[in-house]
Amino acid sequence: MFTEATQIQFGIATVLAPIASFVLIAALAMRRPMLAKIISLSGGLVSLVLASLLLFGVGEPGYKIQATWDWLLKEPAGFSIGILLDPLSLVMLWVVAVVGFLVQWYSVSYMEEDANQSKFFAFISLFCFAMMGFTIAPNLLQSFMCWELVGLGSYLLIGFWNHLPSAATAARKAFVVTRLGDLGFFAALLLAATGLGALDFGSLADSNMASGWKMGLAGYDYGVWISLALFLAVIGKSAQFPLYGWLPDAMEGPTPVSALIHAATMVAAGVYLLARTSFIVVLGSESVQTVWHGLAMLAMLTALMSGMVAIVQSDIKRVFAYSTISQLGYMVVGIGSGAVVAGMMHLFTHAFFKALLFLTAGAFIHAAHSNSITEIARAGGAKLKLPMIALGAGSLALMGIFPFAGFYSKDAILEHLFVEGDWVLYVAAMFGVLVTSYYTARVIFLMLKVPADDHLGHHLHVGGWMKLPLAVLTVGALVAGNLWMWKVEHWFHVPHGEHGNAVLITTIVSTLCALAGLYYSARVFYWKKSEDPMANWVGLANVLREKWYLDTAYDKLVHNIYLPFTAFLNRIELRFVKGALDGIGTGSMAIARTLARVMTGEVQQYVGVSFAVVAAVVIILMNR
Amino acid sequence: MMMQMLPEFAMLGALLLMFVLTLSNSLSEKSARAATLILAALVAVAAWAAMSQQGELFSNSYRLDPYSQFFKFLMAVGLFANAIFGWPLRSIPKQQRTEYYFLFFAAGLGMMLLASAFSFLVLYVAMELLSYSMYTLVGMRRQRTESIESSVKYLIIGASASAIGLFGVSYIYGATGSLNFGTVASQLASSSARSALLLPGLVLVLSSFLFKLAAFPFHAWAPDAYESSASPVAMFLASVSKLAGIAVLFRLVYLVKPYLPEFETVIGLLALASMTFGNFVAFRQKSVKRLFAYSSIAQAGYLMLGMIGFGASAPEAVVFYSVIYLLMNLVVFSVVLELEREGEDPQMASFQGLYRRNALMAMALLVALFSLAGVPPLAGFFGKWLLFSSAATAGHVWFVVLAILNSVVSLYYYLFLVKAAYYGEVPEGAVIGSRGGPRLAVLIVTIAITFLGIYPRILTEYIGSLNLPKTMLP
Repeated sequence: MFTEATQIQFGIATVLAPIASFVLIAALAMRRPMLAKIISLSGGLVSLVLASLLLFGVGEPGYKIQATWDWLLKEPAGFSIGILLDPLSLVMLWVVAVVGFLVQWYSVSYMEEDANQSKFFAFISLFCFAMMGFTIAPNLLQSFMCWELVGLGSYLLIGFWNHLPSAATAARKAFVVTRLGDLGFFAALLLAATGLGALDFGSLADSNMASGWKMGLAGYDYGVWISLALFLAVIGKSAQFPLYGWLPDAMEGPTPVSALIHAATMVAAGVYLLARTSFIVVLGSESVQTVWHGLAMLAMLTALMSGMVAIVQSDIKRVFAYSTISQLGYMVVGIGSGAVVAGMMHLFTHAFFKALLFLTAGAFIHAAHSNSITEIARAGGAKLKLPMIALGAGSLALMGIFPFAGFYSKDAILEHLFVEGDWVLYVAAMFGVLVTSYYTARVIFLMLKVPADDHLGHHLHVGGWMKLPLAVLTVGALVAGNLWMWKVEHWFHVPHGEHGNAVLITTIVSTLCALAGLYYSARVFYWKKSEDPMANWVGLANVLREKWYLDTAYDKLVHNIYLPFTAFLNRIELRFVKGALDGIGTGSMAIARTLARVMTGEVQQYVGVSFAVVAAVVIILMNR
Repeated sequence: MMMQMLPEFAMLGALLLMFVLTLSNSLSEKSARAATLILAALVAVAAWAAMSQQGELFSNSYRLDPYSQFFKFLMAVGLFANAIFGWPLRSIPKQQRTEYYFLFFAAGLGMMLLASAFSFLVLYVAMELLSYSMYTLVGMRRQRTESIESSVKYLIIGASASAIGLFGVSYIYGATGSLNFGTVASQLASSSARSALLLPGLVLVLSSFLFKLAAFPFHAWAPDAYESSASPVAMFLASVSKLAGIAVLFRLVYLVKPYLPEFETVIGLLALASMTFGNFVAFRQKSVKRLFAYSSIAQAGYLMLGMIGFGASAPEAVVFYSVIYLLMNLVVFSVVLELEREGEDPQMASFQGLYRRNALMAMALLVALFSLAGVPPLAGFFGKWLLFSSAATAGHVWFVVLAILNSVVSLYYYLFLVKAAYYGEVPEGAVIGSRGGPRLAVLIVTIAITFLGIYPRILTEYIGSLNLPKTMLP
């Protein structure tokens, strides 16, 4: 429908629209919130329209176009910037554009009473730019730069209410922990540049590079080292065990931010990076496959651990935050075990239903002024019709109940595990489905069952600008899976074998697991026929409430090792380094004083010095 | 010839026209400025049109090549920019404001001739034309004795430098029997014909260039001249007038460098001396204009270091840095002008709390100073990187190490200004808000400095297309 040049221009415009919004807001609209909203939404709309034109207008199997421009230097490594459009990036770009736009729309109501609205919209635009720039990056360097910018956006928005100490702390924690992962990304970048001599995905994925990936380095090959380095990045950004602690704390940010950054897009960046670099498994040696499978195991562990923590959370956003960690785990399980397309599909559907759940939570919080599920229910949250419908749709999608979106994508991953005969992961994943269903249903049943307290006198209402995103995403939670299968799936060359049994058995078992979780949850929280299992297993409940003691462990680490170490360094700094630097400073001042004394203002002396220097140079040269 | 020397003729025409205009007493400073802008723009167009001219004129003593033509264009643009940024003229006495613009073009003509000079005679004449215009400009603030004093000092030092330079020329003529750059270079190439007088002669001639660049040991005029001249004049001194010195010095260095390693070392050492002297003395300055005078002495040192690079890297580095040097100084001096009060020169204290008075100017100052100090990702960083790597590829690693240490030292006093501008308390009775300065132009140049740092290829590629390493050689 469009020529290649047009598509490239569309892609570039999609990415640049939000940064233009950011600059315009910063320059013109910092004190004019109305204008800031208009600019921000216009930028978002441009991105949305163009990304949709690209997604629905062009894709075909094997589609891939790319344009790059040399940046800084020609040689040696060839730093370039550019744009890569292929099924993977188009889908991701569209997800970011859709959710980004809806979240901006929603924020018009959500942030209406905030004094710094302009700043909020500027930051959101900046984030969208960074995320889209990451999505279309054709090489590791550009990926890395945008990856860092995304982290910055996240930091700024988590700490948006920086007058709250908890928000400031959470922002710092998120930044530091994800930075730890970024070190891994940087290591991968250096390894690829020095060892393989290429940074762009095209050459890295080229079959000529296979020998390079198998090249040895300190006992293992480059494939393994770069994979491990990338995994660190993924674990940090996509909040996997053991670095997931920052994500629940990040809920201190405004809820639309949680929906956009900490559910739909940024935390999925790690998953996207894995999908982008999954060619390593194809090109690398067998040990690379083992390492990737190891990552899948770790992700499965993450999924189960965080899913169980979600059971005991009373804060509605934290339930969804742990649920996000758990679902990200599923995506990584998919990609790590070789089902790249299924993993991406889950990313796609999850973006819709999890953004929906967060925005719903936001609607409740905005109405009831509390994050606690029971408080919201007591304030009469269950009377809000649209949010309750949205909550229901989002929850069913999260549980993976037919015909909601999560059903298709989750089952795609499970089927792959079945076909591969990976029974450990298969059984664990099925158990995870049960847990997911249990904690998700718990939220709904608590909302329904806790009686509304009319004396509180709340007149709950949903902000006008919140309705459209909720409605759109509710539809999304219903049809995103079908949309993927109709429009996107055939672009990827998915080998279709005869997996009739796998599909049938997986569908039946996973639906049964989900229903079992739902039923048990209903018995405990709705019908109150069973006792809350957490009341019986006090030990487990405590462990879960303490989030598997991970935060405690980190605190201990920081207090007992890190802080003493920094104190030690500080002593060295004060004793030696500062002394040396002070010396240099005093020395410089003395030199400056001496030299300045030459500048007396006497022109005779100036000329004399000039003559003397020239004469000295000439004499030295003549007598050599 | 008319076509080949179009920029020079355009400049001459502008000069004569301005002269006629100044005769009329009724010419207001505003219309003089407008006329200057139009004329400078026309000269720039002429320089652009003559960009591809090549050839040798006047029995090979005047050379047109991409190098000279690019510099002429840059100078014309620089003049135009000076007319924009050097506003308002409040520190120049009223009756002399139109004269100021006349001298503009006189200096401009001298600069253009310097860019093409290929013989020591043309060099001398062009340099004097430029110098005399500058002496007059510096002495223009006649109501202040310091202005006249520094103008006279400037004249004395300039005359001394010229004298030494001419003395050197006599050595060169004696050694080679020619005043032509090309002949000197070809005589150097054949070692049998080389005279022992040639090297000392060249070193003596260097004096004239060092004076123009305000480099050690002919730097002493700069602090006084910058401080006591009117701020628009100081801007002119610091920005566009430097281009001429750079252009002609590098042309000579590039010609003789392959045959005279000692000459290379002399330039490197003088470059280091300039940097060190400029940076360390800048520390102790209270007057902002003096501080920037020392800063420009140091900057001349960086440029000279880049000149002794190897092969293609040196022309690229020098031309790139010339462009951004112009931009950075324009911004810095616009801020100085903005802060200037009637009859008083801005001190360090005038920068206090600039951010709260005029955020745009504070931001522009921040960018320009960081760029001068060479902080990435600004253009100054990339420019210095080119200069230093150029010297390093020629094997002068120790010079480069010392130059980098120098950059660190310079950061101290640049940051001092930034600190005052951003964290200082607004002093009582401070100049507030815009004083009619060219805000949009400052913004554009600031963005250009940032952009050239992020995407320098846009300029380096253009410079590469001029093919300087080849076209500069006779």
